[in-house]
Amino acid sequence: MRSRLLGDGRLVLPAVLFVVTTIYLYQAFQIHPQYDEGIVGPRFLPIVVSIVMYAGLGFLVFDILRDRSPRPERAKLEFRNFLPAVAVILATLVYIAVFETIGYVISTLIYVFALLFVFKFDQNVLWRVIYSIVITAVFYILFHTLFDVRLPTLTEWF
Amino acid sequence: MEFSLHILGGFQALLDPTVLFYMVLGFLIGTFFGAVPGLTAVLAIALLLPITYSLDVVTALVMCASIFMAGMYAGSITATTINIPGAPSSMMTGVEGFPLMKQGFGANALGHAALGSMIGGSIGAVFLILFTPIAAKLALLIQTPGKFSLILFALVVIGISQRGAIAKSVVTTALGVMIATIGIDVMQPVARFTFGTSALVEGINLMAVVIGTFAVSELLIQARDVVHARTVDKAQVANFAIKRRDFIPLMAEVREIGVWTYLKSTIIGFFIGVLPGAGGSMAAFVAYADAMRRSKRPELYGKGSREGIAAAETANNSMCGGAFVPMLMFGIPGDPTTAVVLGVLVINGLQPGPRLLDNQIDLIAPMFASLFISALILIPLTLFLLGPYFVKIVSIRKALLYSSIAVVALVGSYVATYSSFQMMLALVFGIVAFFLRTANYPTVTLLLGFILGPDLEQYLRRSLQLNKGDPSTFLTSPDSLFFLALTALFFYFMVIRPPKTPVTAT
Repeated sequence: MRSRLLGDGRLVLPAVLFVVTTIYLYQAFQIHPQYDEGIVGPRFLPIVVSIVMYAGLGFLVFDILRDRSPRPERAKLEFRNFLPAVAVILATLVYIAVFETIGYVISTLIYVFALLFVFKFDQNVLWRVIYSIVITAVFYILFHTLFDVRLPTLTEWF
Repeated sequence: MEFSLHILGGFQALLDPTVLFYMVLGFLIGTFFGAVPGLTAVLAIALLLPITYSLDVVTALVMCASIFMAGMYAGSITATTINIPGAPSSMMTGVEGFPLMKQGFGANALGHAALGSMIGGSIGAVFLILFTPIAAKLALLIQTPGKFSLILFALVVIGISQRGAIAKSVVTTALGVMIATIGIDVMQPVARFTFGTSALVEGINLMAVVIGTFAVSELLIQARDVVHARTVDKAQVANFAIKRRDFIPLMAEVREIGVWTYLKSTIIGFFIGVLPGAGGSMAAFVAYADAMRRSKRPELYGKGSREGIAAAETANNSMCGGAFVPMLMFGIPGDPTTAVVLGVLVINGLQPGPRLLDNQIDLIAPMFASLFISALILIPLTLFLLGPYFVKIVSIRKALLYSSIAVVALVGSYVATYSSFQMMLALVFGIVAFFLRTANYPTVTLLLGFILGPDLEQYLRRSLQLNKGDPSTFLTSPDSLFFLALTALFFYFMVIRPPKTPVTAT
C-alpha cells in the first residue's frame, strides 16, 4: 500500500524536488531589490522558474499515477543496491574533510585504497596498497609537476 | 581574406610541438574514453576542465576539439567488436558492425566506420570554418529581445528533444536555472539564495556542476552497478586478432556506398549539430534512416550493411563541427560536449558571440584546425597503428579506472579556487545527478539550464526595461518573433505531431 502510494519509489524524487522548490520560492519572495525594475526584478525569474518546476512535477506525478503497469523487478529501488554508492559518498566526504588538513598524499592514498575495496578490486591487499601508491603518485606528478598545481601537504602544519 | 589568414594561422599553430603534443594526447584520451563503455568524451573534457587553468587557452581548446572528434569516432570500436556501443552515438554502427564482425569482417567494418568518420569529421570542420562568419553576421542582427527568444528556443528544443522524458527534462532544466540563480543577481547588487552562507555569494562555479554532474555521478553509478571487475569481459576480447591491411575498405565497397551517401550524411550531421540539444545520436540515427530509405540493398540493413555504418559514422562526426557554430556565435551549446567546451572558453575569459571572430579569432582558429586534422589524419592513423590493440585496451579493471577518475575529478575541482568547498559542491551535485540519472532524468538539460539561465534572465529583464515593461516587444521585434515562431514550429512537430519513429537524444 505504502509502495503504491509512493509510485513504487518513483514519487520520492518529485516529492523531494517539490520541497526544494517550495523553499526556493519562499526564499525568492524574501529578495529585496536595490531599486525598482517594475515587474521584472531579481525575484521575477526565480518565481517563474518555480512555477515551471511545479508544472513539470505536476505532469510527472500525473504520468506516474496514471501508469498502473508494475515496474520490472530489476528497476525497483532497493537500499542494498545503493550500498556501494553510499560507501563511495562516505569515503569522498571523509576525503574532502581531511584533504587540506592531512595533505594530498596521505588522504589520496587512503581514499584510493578505500575505493579499490568498494569497486571490488580482484587482487590481494598488497596489490591494493601498491596500486594506491601508484595512482597517488601518478596524479601527484600530473597535477603538481606537469600542471603546476599547489597541492596541500601535511608539512604545511609544521 | 583576413579570416582565411587567421584560419591558416590556426593550422600553423598546430606545428608548435607543445600544441601538437596536446592535440595527439587529447585524441588518444578521447579514443580511450569513447571506446570504453561507461566513459564518454563529455566526461573526458569535464575532467580536463580544471586542468585548463594551467594550460594555455589555445592548447586547451585544441585538446578539447581532438577529444570531441576522437570520442565520437571511438564509440564504434566496441559497438562493432563486442556489440556494446562505447558512446550512444554509435548505436546504429553496432547494429550493422556487429553482424559483420560475426561474419569475420570486423576489421572491415571498423575501416568503414573510420572512413566515414574521417570524411564526415573533416568536411564538418570545413563547414564550420565556412559557416562561422555567416553565423557571426546573423548574430550581429539579433537584438536584446531576440537574444532572449533565441535562448528560450534553445531551452525548449533541448527539452523536447528528450523524447519520452519531456516532463523530466522540464524539471531538470528548471533545476539548472534555479542553481544558476544562486549568488549575486545578474542586474542588481543583491545576493540571492545564499542562506546566509558567504561562500555562495559568488554563485556556483561551473566546474563543480560539470564535474559533479558528469564525473562524480558516473562514479556513483558505476559503484552501484559494479558486478564485473573489468569494463569489458576479458573472455569477449581474448580471440580478437586482426591484420592491419583488413582495415582498409575495398574500393568496390566505397563505390557501392557512393559519394552522395557520404556527402548527404555529412550535411545531415552538420545541421543536426547546429540544432541545440540534438547531439550525435540523433545525427547518426537520421542519416542511417535516410540511407536505409533510399538504399539499393535495404535487405542488408540489420545484417551487416556497410552503407549503414558509413552513413551513421559520417553524420555523427560531422555533427562535431555543427555543434560548435551555435556555441561560438550565440553561446548556445549544440550538445553536452560543446556545453563543457563553453565552460573552457568562459574559464579562460573568452566570451562567445560574433565579436569572438573580430577580437580572438587567433585563439579559436587552432581549435578549428584541430577538428579538421583530428578527423582527416588522426582517425585513420590511430586505427592503423593501434587498431589491432583497441579491444584489449578497453578491457581494464574498473576499480583502477574509477579510482583514478575520482582523484582527477575531486582534486580537479579543488584546483578551481584552492578550496575544499568546491570539492564538496562537486560531491553534492554528483549525488543530485546520481539520483536524477537513477530515475532516468536527463542531466544534460540541467547543465544547459545552468549555463543558459543567467543569459535568459539578463536579456529578459533588459528587454523589458528598454521597453518600459511592455512584453509585446518580444512579438514586435522581428528577430524575437522569428525565434518564437521557430519555437512554436518545433514544439508542434516534436510534441503535438511527433515523428512516428523513436529518436533519442544524447
